[in-house]
Amino acid sequence: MSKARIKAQGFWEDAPFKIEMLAEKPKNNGRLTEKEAKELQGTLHIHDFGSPEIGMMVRWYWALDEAGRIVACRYELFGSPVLRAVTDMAALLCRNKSLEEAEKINYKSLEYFLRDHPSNPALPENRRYLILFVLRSIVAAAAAARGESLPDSPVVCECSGAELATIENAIRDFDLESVEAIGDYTGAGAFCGRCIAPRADSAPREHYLVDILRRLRREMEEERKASGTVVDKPFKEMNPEEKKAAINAVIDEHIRQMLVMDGGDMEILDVKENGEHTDLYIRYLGACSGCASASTGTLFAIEGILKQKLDPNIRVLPL
Amino acid sequence: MKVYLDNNRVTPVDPQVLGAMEPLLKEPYGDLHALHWAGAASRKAYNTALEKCYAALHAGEKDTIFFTSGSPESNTTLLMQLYTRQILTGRKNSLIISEREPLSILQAAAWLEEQGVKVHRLPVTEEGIVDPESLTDYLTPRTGLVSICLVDPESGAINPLEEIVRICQSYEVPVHTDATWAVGKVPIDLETLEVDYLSLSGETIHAPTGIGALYARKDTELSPLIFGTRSAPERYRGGPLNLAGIAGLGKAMELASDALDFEMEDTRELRDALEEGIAALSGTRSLIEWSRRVPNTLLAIFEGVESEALLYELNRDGIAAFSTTVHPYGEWVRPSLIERLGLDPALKHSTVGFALSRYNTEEEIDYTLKHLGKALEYLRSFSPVAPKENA
Repeated sequence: MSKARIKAQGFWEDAPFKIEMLAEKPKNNGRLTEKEAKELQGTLHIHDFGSPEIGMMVRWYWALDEAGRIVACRYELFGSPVLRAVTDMAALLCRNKSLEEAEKINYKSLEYFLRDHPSNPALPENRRYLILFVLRSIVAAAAAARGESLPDSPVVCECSGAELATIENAIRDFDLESVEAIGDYTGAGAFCGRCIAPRADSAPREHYLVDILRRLRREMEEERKASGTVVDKPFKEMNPEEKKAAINAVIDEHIRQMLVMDGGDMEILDVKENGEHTDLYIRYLGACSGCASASTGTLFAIEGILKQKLDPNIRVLPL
Repeated sequence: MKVYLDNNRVTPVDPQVLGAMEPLLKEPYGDLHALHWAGAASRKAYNTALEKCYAALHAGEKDTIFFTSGSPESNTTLLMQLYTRQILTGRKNSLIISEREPLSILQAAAWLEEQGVKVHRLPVTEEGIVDPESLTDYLTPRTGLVSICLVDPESGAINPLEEIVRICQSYEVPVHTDATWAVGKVPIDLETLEVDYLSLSGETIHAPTGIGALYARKDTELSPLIFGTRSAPERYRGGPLNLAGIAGLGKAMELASDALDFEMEDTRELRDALEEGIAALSGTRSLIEWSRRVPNTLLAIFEGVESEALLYELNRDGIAAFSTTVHPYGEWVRPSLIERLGLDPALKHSTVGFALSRYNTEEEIDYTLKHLGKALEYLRSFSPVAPKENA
């Protein structure tokens, strides 16, 4: 085990300032009454998600206007302070969005808004499931507001209330490779552990996480092979065209979003081989051009991500 | 104000205990086997501590007490001895524990189970304790050990160990108890409580963490888990020993048994004051009947409030309490007490416990009650499952 894993993990004392602030002074908690909704020329929509048995329950109060836009958003919550912070931020993000837009809030954007600094994750690994819980509650509430209901899926882990579909989606979306990672993102298996694999001291179950993981990984592998688009080559052995494509893919997936959120963007000008290094020439667009951080923090972040994802010998040179 | 009410996990070190440890920490101290003056001083400190432990437990002259690094090591030593000396040799084949044992016993038992040992886990009744009669369903002449903790670390429920011992004696099966949460809270007299093995730990009796002991009655089997033995004091646990810790544990044991009568009465009064104050708040109830609980512990349900959220609010006011249902530090290996007590499983995540020590004061309890009321009111103001009065 590495030093980082063995270190005593901070609890409340190490929470990012934003989480602490939202947990201490949430702004959107409480009820919304019919009267208040009417004053906003909307109708009140209430939806419960989760249950006290799993230690997480949120009741959304949405005032929806005629076009189906969420004009006011409040919540009641049974759950930990960190869940309160996440829910409060989600409530803020839902306001003035249509149901479809609210549903589209994804893990990355919600997590990003909870960060103190763009490169520091908001939550420790083993509490990421709180974010997914809140996102699922929004999807469920939006479906209910339209009069639909989410498809039924069997519960795999009673302790966390994680359903089969949720676990499958998490494995696909986050490319999870271990049972611990499933626990981090969905809570499944992170509690009593009886749903991980068959055990001598508990009754047999229908679904086990190890089986789900193995099946999903096999399916994903087959799909990957079938699509045929993936180049299974180390970065070093790629030709310049392939390198450019690989860098582009990483930027699209991990970097652009971060820039766009602050009103900026970037484009790739050229990729050049320079001895053992690969030099990447970029140009900042929008708010990024002229931003003081463009040649320091942001640049380091971009370079760091590329180095981590592709090759440690990549250098980024802004023009 | 800082109020520490998590004394079933770790207790502050008593100044007198610190005083007993100081010479061994501040000045050079010798190994137990050193020939010189420093060794002589260490031997004296060791012997004094050992005498105090024997006296505090009323252990017989022919019984064994040896020092370990804490009750988890004591428990593991015993269970590994059971496995290597009795189960692998084919003399015994099973182990009986309660389902709410300390983690070291539960995890060692799970490991033994993987090795093919039969492990029976006795459920706790609706009173939160083990029913001695349920033992008879599993006891056989081939049962290697019965291990049931004297006091439940979470709820403070006292198991009827004397009756358990009586039943086991009729089957000639040895009994072990982890008394980590019982020492200094209930009288332990090994002349009347005829257990064969007993584990204890320093951190719950105002000695530092990292020191504990295992008691074994005469003519019981014992073998070391940690090797490195040079002489009799290290016969069952390799040295060099934690001498400062041992001196502290000896003093702490003396204080725990001397203070049992009056100090625990004081603690009980404070605990009862806290319990009454909590009962006066709406939507609360304390678990485990008053008479079946150690005098320092109180585990309560706070309806409509999640444990971690309540602990967070209390912590903001400097009050340290505990709950075993907080992820990721929850103790999920143990089955939920709420379900065993026959309560609504929806209350599973609404328990918070308070464990007092002789250092708590009336003022602290008043402060705790004041802030507890405030925290409950605040959290219930936006709880979807708040009790009706607040709705």
